[in-house]
Amino acid sequence: MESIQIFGIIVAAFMIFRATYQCWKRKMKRSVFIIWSSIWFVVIVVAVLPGTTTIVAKLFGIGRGIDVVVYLSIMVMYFLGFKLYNRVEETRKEITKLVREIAYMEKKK
Amino acid sequence: MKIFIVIPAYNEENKIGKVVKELITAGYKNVVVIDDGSKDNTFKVAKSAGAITLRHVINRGQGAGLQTGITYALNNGAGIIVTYDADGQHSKNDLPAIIKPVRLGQVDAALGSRFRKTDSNTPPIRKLFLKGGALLFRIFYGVNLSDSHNGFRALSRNAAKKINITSDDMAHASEIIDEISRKNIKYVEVPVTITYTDYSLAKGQNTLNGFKILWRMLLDQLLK
Ligand SMILES: Nc1nc2c(ncn2[C@@H]2O[C@H](COP(=O)(O)OP(=O)(O)O)[C@@H](O)[C@H]2O)c(=O)[nH]1
Ligand SMILES: [Mg+2]
Repeated sequence: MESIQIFGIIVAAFMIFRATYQCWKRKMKRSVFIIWSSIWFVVIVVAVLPGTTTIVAKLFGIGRGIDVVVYLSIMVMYFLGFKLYNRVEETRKEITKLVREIAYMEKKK
Repeated sequence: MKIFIVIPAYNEENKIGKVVKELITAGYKNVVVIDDGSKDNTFKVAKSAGAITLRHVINRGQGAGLQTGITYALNNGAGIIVTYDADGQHSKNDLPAIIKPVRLGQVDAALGSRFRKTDSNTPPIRKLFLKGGALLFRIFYGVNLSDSHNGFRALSRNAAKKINITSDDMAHASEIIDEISRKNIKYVEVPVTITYTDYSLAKGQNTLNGFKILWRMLLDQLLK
């Protein structure tokens, strides 16, 4: 086994362990936990059996297995970036709403 | 018709008193100043000058301040709402001209333009940026203006109700134009004088900020 594979397994195991702990402590929603730990589970599978990526790659008509992983990771990252942008925007709007309400309340007093 | 003048202000203690007094002396009784979490005495100065004062506990940006003032004016029976700068760059003498087309019901929005006057003293670099903005409005929103990002406007009650400012920062100026275009609000440009002093230039928007606004405009278009 290559050291990169061992490294991948350790990181993934740690991530799943951490997520389980957070979910148990109710700091992570169950839906997020399921998605998050599935991603890392896939990482473990790929690390243990690198051949699986080639099978998936063939399925999509992409040459090398590792390319599938890279493509998917980029897509997931973009998706997360988009989600984050939306969340930040939402929070910003809520804060402004709050500040505005406080201004009106202070005026009425 | 009840006229409200809405002035968002951020750290303007040096200018806001004079601006408010001038407006009240000129006969505009409903002057609303939104102190946007200023670190100086803007709130106190505006209040003792006779303005209706609202306060944001933290800084939310000019767009947020405007919307706070506009909603306040609407809730207090405004017929016409004028948006005005706190830093003394606008001239009270332009008020009758900008209010008139709205008062007569010819349009729902009168937008101040500094380039419709011949005595404009706008610095060249600022002019380039504002003209570029106007060009983008034409491309993005199909609205034909000679100026962009001019804070001097008069809105009918109807238009003020329709326009919803969600950009807290300076990007609200493009958002207002976008709303005018989307909601088919009838508008006209009115020449106004913008005075550039060292004070206003030092405090005002720099060119870097212009790029930020452009970036936000693009992003908004992509994500809408
Ligand atoms: N509410 C609020 N008003 C602001 C803020 N920054 C600037 N302003 C006000 O917006 C007006 C125009 O701002 P300025 O920086 O002079 O922009 P410019 O005249 O377009 O260069 C002035 O009345 C300022 O006091 C802010 O963060 N919040
Ligand atoms: Mg200014």
